[in-house]
Amino acid sequence: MTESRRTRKARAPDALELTATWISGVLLVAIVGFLVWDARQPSRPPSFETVIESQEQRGSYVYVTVAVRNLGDAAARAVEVRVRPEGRDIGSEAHFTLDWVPGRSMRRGIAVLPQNIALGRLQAEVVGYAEP
Amino acid sequence: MATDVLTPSVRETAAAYARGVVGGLLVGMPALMTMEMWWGGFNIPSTRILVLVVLNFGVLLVLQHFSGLHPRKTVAAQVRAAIVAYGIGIVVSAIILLVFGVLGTDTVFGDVVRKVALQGVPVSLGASIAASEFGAAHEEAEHRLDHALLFPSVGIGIAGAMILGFTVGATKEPMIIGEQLTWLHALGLVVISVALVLGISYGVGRRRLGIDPFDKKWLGFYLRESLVTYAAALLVAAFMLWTFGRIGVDTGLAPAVHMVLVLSLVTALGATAAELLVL
Repeated sequence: MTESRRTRKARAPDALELTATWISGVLLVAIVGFLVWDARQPSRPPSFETVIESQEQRGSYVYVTVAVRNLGDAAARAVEVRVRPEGRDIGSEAHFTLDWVPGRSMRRGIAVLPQNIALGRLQAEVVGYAEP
Repeated sequence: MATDVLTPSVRETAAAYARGVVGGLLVGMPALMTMEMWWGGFNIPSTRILVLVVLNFGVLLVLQHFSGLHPRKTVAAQVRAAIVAYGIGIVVSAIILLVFGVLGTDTVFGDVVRKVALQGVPVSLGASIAASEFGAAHEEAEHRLDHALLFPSVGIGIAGAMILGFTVGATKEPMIIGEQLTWLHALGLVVISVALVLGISYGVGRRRLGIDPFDKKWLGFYLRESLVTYAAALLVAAFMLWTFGRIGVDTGLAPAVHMVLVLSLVTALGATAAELLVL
């Protein structure tokens, strides 16, 4: 071992090293603390709330924006959403699939309906999803 | 004033941390650009991420000893370096995920923390081998060249397995390949993996330690190290797949074993080549 290495080993940590250690330590403790707290929380299964945010006619079709909110804690995969005018038969409906809706989060999708359908009050509903 | 603050020691530390950031990006970028890793923030339970973070800290400590973020190698300095390496992992992954638009105003707080905790792991591993990546002097690596030791070798192997296994383990591919395997394919994978472990260990032994592993003096050590390294690679593969929810109590034994064998081909490569990467 060289003399310079012995000197390096014995030297006290510099200000930058101490500051970085403190900041990193706080971040590490905060993340571990959150994960411990979160692991102890009950995880509710997905449950959905849908809101039709807007309807816009573009060309021959009507584009309906639907917000889907997962009120549960667990994420849902391949969330299938159906949009149709209230009281209409099943041939008038449109579908879209959201890849993921994380717990307590919202995702948006667009349903495309043919122009010739008279738009009354539309309804949007989640008809199925897969567990991750 | 500036020269008072920028002492040689501070400059050395600043250079080490800059190397750590770049080293972290080199290793962590594939994971940062993998969507299954982003999804991990909301579909991996906190308990599993917590286990990963704790185990990763142990691996970071091993890496500080043999390569590391900072050239100073006292016990306290290595603990500080492990903490800062994970801190770099947290900050770098948060910034990159923000720039990629993965973290946005519609991302809930818990999802942000879990994503950053998860992505911080490969970045921190990269930061912890920065000294080797950029050829900075570190005493332990030089010391290791003169000695063949089983446990340090396995410790480095676990780190290497995690570095290579992390990105692939998060994706669906090990599961899909695992589902396609017959027993014959699985056997072929074991043969290839063992051959790789033996071959790379032989190469590392020749290059790093200057020994002939087929020499009677070293043959026992060489075979023991290869066997233990492969076992460690299998365990790391199983742990990765469990963390990412690919295997669990509801997975059949044969599909689970097949998936582990598929991923262990990657982790075995990482584990055996780790000494080339880390030292």
